[in-house]
Amino acid sequence: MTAPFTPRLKLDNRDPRVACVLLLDVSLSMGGAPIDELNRGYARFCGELGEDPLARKRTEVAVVTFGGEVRVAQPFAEARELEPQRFSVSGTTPLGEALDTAMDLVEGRKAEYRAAGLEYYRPWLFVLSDGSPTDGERFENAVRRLSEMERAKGATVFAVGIGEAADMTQLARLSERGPARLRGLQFGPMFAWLSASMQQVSNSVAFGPESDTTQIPLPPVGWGTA
Amino acid sequence: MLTVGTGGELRLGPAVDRGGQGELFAVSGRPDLVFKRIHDAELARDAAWPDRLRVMVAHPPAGVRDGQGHVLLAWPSDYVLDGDRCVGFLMPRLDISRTAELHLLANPSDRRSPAPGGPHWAVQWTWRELLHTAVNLAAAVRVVHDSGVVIGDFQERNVLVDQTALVSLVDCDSMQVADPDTGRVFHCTVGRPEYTAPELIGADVANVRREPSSDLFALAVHIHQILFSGAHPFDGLWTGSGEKPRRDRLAAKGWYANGRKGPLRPPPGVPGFELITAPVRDLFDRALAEGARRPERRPTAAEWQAALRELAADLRSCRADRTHVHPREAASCPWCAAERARSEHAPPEHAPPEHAPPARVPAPRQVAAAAPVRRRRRWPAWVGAFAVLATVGAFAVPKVADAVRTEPTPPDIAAPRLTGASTRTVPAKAQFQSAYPSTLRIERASLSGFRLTVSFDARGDYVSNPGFRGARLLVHTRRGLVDVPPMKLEPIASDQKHIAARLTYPAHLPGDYDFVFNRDRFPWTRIGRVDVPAVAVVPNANGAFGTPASWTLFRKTSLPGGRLRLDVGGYGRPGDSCLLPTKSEPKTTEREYQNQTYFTWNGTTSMAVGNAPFYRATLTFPHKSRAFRFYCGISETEIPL
Repeated sequence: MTAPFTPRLKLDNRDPRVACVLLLDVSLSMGGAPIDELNRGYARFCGELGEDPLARKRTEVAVVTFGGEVRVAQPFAEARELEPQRFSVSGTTPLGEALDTAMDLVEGRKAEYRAAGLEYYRPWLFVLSDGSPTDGERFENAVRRLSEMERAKGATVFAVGIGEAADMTQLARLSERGPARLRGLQFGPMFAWLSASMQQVSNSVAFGPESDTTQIPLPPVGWGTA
Repeated sequence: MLTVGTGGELRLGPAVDRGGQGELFAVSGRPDLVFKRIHDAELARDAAWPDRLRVMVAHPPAGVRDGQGHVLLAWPSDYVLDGDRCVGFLMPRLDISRTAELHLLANPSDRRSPAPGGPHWAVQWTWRELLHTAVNLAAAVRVVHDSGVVIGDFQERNVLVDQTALVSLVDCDSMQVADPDTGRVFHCTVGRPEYTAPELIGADVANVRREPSSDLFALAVHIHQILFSGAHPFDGLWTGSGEKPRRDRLAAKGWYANGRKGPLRPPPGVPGFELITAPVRDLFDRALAEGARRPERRPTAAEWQAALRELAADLRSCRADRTHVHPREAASCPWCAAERARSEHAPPEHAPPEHAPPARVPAPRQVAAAAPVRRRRRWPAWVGAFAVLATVGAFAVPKVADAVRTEPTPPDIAAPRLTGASTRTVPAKAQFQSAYPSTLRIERASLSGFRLTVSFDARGDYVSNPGFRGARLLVHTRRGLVDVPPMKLEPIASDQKHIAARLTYPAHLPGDYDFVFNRDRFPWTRIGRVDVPAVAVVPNANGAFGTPASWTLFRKTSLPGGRLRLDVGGYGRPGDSCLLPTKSEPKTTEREYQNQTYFTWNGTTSMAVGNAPFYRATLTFPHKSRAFRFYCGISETEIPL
């Protein structure tokens, strides 16, 4: 049985990996300027990450879009293989199902890393939404599962609300780290911050005395408000 | 006005590079030098810069350049003042267009598919070149240590390698140096956890004086990565309980993957220690196991240099694949074994949840499925410098391809078909009837997926056993005759009166197939005809070793928006990588290629029918031309559309 070509874990690349799942809200309310800016920002993200000599082979990016349906718009691929794509809007906001899908992707990828004997850093889940989740109980269950994962240090979760209608209360439930609110439509700088974060992980330059506390990124400056 | 310590004005040329610590400028009138202007923030952070530079300039190690003028260390040759403030230094200029950072050579995926601007010259590198790199790295470290300097931040980005495997160490200004007059030590305050010796993990690196032995830990790790396909010695499969501990914990215990102690086993698809000789194994053990708690046991750079040189002096190429290089004394080719392991490595079952409800998460295959208490990742402290990102200037955004959401799944590739096969008895050519096996029986060829099996049986009296080398398969394709080497040879009989074997060939080319056991003595015999359902099949005439032997265009679909989707496949040896047209290097018959999908292939990608080592990709791009030309390995292939 052959499937459409999906880039598999590259065994001839033995560098440590950091998996990053982007959950992007493409519900109808994102139509117009927001989705345009998001698309531009994502293209920038792919480009920048692809240029850092270490991040391009250590960062693995997957994209889950949720708008009406949930779709894995980008299965895990090394940053150097990322092809920017244009997302289009439709439907409501099944964030719960998207979270489940993203967590499945992360768990699956970690299993692949372990089976291949590869080192990996704690994966990132980056959630962007401009509204309220519309899949009720599914969302509740997903939040429970996500909190478990975060507590067990299985992932670093970041939530960002877009626009005035973003439900910050619900987004706040996604992570112990408070959600950020995107300033205007500054997707560009936000994605630049995200790619720089991934580069930082890949280059892990500074290190100091071993400590028990998780390193928490400072609140995003410039593109968002905490 | 900028002046140099030795006196005189400094005139700058254009900026050459920009890094975290400073910016590099060319020096007007001095093409052999480069000026590093340290960022003001960095100068403010560390008030010791001027003193450090003064000491370094006054006391360069012997051997900064080798006998042939090659720059071994980018050592500060003079410091630079702005007024009376020290703002940077001069150092020898390296031709960075001909060098690459070490990680780009040690990582096989980077060698096989280099990034634009990456080391394209390394595509053909074998283990021989890598071994030379390791020798040269040890030599460079020796020069540093002989002068009492400790590298400190001995990481993969501070080592540059050129096309001839010569090594240069850069970022020398962060090395640990001591003022011979006052005894003052200028510490190295940075480092990367994966190259930091166990005794330094958790130490206050700003104030601790490092020993050369800490560099020797990093040297052993680098040599391991260079020789073993980029694998870190403390990566691998954990056979103990719970999750695999982090690298630095394993390093503290000395449990490296190829070691005798500890539950860490080597990762799949990477050659093990059978690839190296006993003296070199011993050095790794001293560096990583004994050296875990006793740093003084770690081999010196000079010891590594000597042992690796000896290893490099007695190598041979594998008979099956000339790019496989290993020590002469190895019993069998460790690279063939590694490739087999890699192609057999099946990742844990996990269905990508495309439009389906989320799949159940399966238990990982090899590790105890204990509830993961995630081990702590050390994360760098975030700096407010990210605020600067909000003010980053215009960024050239590449044009984006149209959405591909509605394309359906392409159907499976149909298997090739064999017709006209039957058992044949072939007499030898007239003049050889008496002196040689006089009859040859060729069994009916059979096709399974892309594998064609031919068995022959030759009997008669003859003087010497010709062996099986003469068995050949020739395909009459539309583009000409192609000689297909066998994938597998299974001898059945081999003595003076009877020679028989079963050979397996890849049947990826459509056409008439002829077989001969020994073409001097026997005529070519038609054994059948193979049809490959495809739009076009192109044998790779250049036949550069290690590249697919043929390319097949299975399907060509026109998509809305003037785009084309190609379902392309190539049959080749496991472990190859190919470069399909890249974003920046389109090699097509039409120049205007935009947002070309860029794929690299590895030996374990999706398999076609019958488990053949087969590469496949689906490419979508805006395209109107009549041919599709692309690069694979070092050869160029064109498929007519």
